[in-house]
Amino acid sequence: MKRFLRNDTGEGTTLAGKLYLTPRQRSAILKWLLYSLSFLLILVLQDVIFSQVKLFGGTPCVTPMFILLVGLLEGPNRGGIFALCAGSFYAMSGVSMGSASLLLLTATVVLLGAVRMAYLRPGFWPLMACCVLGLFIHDGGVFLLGAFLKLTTLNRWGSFFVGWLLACLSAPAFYPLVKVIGRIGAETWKEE
Amino acid sequence: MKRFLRKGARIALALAVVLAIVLALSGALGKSSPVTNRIVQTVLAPFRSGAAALTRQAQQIYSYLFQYEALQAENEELKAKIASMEDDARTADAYQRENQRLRELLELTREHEDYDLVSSYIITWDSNNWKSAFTINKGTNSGIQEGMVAITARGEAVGLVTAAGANWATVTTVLDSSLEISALIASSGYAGMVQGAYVTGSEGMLRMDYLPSDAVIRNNDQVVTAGSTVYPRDLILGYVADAGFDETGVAKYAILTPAADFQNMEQVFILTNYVNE
Repeated sequence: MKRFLRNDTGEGTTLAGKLYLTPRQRSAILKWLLYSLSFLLILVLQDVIFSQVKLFGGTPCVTPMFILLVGLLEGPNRGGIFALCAGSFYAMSGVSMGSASLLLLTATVVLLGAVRMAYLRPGFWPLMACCVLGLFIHDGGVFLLGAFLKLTTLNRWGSFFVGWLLACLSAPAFYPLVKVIGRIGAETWKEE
Repeated sequence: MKRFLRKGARIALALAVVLAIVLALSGALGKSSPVTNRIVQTVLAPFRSGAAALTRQAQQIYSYLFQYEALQAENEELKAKIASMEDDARTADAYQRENQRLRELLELTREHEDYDLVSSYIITWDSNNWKSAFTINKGTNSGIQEGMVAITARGEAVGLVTAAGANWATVTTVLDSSLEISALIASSGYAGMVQGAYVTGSEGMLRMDYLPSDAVIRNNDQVVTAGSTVYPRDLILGYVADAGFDETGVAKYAILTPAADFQNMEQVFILTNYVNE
């Protein structure tokens, strides 16, 4: 492990002689930068476009699905931290029940990510199953808490269900993008 | 469990709990959005504006490409509606003007109870430069004969009926040089003869001749008909605009602005009967 992390002399870059970045570190920075920019783009698209879509009373919310997808792909450690940061940004962007959303997203990514890595094979379908389950836990938790706080009523479960279904359709759409970004620094990537 | 949740995951979970509590409390206790929320939304605002502008452009292009025919049909329908509404507005304007004229006529008939009037509308104007005449939509069927006088609702002289058919009549206006009308300057009583001033170079004006050389003529003096077998008394012909000695030097003349507004005239009244005092 120490050899893995040792700096490769002659192959890294310096920032005015103060900062020495190895290629592995550069790849990691690039990957997480691309994840962040993609998250920002999807957040803006959600606010401007997807929020205007209404089908059978339900509105798709695709931002949590993206966070779940990246988080589950990267594992409970790094994915959990990404879910924490992205979830915080998402909560502070003016979304309703932001604090509950942040806690549920982080907890879901950490716990489901651990279960997936322990018991499931890496692959597209297990990942999709975990994302769908994770989004159900997130959306359901937010809905129940909203009903408890009288921000909504339980008989509006239909619109919650439709919104969850529509957001689930975005997971296969985001998967190719997340997979391509995740392959940066390919040695750590184990997904098929 | 240690294998499931390593240090990083546990830290993330703990921080999530703390942050969630902090955000919930700050939202519940604070009157306005927390500072962090405002910062994040300020950062996001330009991106949202840009995306919204792009979305609007895309919607416009989509509408242009795929909804062109529907938009075209809607455009035609709206044009037809506008035309109909403009028509209604014009009709309303016409009714308003007629209403005003009828009010004035009512006033006229109160002053001259002996007047029998037939109202008519102008349908055509004569297009000659030296002739000033128009055609109205009523004729002998309505009791109109040649030689009858046409006036406005305010008692202003318009002209004389010079031809009449069953449902039409031609009125030669006072601006026409062929008509001569005996007239008086209302304030001073000086008598003269009024005719159209076209031949003397003042198109659209009237000329009053044969005024006494010692007549005192003021601007805006009202000139009225003197009364004859053709015209009743006190029909307003015009107002003095200019005066001077004529070519002979022994008489004065006056140029008059016609009282009747020939430019905007739509309706005239034919005096079919009156008592000549």
